[in-house]
Amino acid sequence: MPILQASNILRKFGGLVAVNDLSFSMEKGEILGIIGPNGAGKTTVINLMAGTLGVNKGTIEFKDKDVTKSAAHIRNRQGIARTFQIVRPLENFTAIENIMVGALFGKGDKLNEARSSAQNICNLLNIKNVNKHVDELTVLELKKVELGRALAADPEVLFLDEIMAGLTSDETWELIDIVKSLQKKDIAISVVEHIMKVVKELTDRVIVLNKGQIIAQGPYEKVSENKEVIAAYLGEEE
Amino acid sequence: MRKNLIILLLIVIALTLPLYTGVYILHIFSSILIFLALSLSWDMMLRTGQLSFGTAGFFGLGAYASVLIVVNMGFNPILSLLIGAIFSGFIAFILGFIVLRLREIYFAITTLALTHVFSVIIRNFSDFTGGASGKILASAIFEGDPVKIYYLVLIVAGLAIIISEVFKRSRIHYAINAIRNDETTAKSSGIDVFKYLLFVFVSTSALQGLVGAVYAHQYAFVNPESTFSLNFLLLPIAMALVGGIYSTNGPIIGALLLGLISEYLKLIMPYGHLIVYGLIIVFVVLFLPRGIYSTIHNKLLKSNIIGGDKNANTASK
Ligand SMILES: Nc1ncnc2c1ncn2[C@@H]1O[C@H](COP(=O)(O)OP(=O)(O)OP(=O)(O)O)[C@@H](O)[C@H]1O
Ligand SMILES: [Mg+2]
Repeated sequence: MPILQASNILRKFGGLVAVNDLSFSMEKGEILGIIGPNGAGKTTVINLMAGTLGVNKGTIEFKDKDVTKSAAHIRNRQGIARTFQIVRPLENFTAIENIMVGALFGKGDKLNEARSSAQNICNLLNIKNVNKHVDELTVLELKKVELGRALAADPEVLFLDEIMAGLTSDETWELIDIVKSLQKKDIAISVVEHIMKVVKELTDRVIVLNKGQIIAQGPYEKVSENKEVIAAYLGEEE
Repeated sequence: MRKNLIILLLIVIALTLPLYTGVYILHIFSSILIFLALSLSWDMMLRTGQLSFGTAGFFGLGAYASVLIVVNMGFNPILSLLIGAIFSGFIAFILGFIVLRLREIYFAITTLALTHVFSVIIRNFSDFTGGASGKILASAIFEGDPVKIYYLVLIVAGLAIIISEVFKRSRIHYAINAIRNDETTAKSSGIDVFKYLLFVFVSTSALQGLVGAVYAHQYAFVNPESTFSLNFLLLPIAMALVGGIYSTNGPIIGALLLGLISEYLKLIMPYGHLIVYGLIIVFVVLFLPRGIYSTIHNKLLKSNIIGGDKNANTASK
């Protein structure tokens, strides 16, 4: 039984249909890849699932409850967490304080609990400069803080929007290992990625979006040979 | 350690002031403490990222509520101070559902407009409020005893300081700082943005109402013009800016500094003090944009003269 089920969701921006009658589901312990050319609607799907944006049509069920109309903070507390494609750290805080925010409000920790929860996450993600301010962090550290804040809510469903983008090869491998370790904790993970190496390495199953619709789905190996998928990506390069 | 000593010393001075000063000095400090509390209340709302121009409005509402309930209904004056706080908090609660959907300049302008609306409504309900001429109390609170009034104001200022510190040391700090930084991140991290904005708006408005009530009972009158005067907005803002925003110490330092300077200037050149006042504010905003407290605090931190205080450091960032 899926932990998250989106059925026939639709989202328009003015005249543009960014997500068009889309249905998909996520399972515990599974990593789902969401791929597709620029502007396909991947980030919008995450926004809709996390409640950052509302759907125009369709329903979203999480653990058999309809959360279609729930506000973002409610969904986060219930167990849906996300990162942002362009990291959105809280600039007035240090690395560990950013992560504490997730523990305090997403998980509902008390202040002293939140600090130790956040420290555990820093250890897990190998964040060393926990007391540095956001503006002193490297790209990799920022990505980890972004991931850490999402994880601190103790989510059951986690959406990762291009967390590998802009990292070196070594850094990418470090994050791949981290995401795999999260999968073992039975979190349902959805990764949006442009780097095919990462998709191949991480995902159990992939859905390919183009113009807000699924044009193919299945294991990465199969999907990557699909003619329509190749055409969609080629179309992007023209 | 040294910091605790300074705080202890200031508390002792504040508590013993009436023992070695006269009425005039007590009066000055009572007035400074009134503005100190307003300045802190304004700063606490600013920490959510919302620039409120409603300070004078909720101050005035509290003042009117507490005076009217005494004059018209014979209420106990001390209890009426609480009524002033509750009334301002209640009105803020109702209006919060509308104004807290606004952001930035729209929120600022709307809260300023509300101040004006309050005073117009009060002018027009003249049967109950005394209209444009206001109402006069039979006597100031504690029969105008300056020592008792000083302690009353000190309690109110102490309350403002305690609330500010509770905000800084609790989860409220993390919530409102996150909201100020990035509401989208805050929401997707489980923060109920509206709930926190409403909570801070209501509690700071209630505090402003309490301060207004105390002020009105100190001078034994209310009238629309002086009770809703923009002085109760502009001076607190200037104090927080000069001392340093997003902190407890900033508004305290700003209130003491500007309060004492303007008292001194009033003596040597009546009305000229406003010009000098303006110049100080311009100077601080231009050259010490983080305020006096944060600037000095960071300098000392760098030279390791005082130990790290993470909250203050976070606040000044
Ligand atoms: N808030 C918004 N307002 C208006 N249009 C938007 C908004 N968000 C997304 N869009 C549009 O919706 C479409 C899908 O955007 P989305 O960001 O979901 O694509 P994406 O698949 O994540 O692309 P990328 O790979 O570049 O991140 C694009 O045409 C985009 O311009
Ligand atoms: Mg995207």
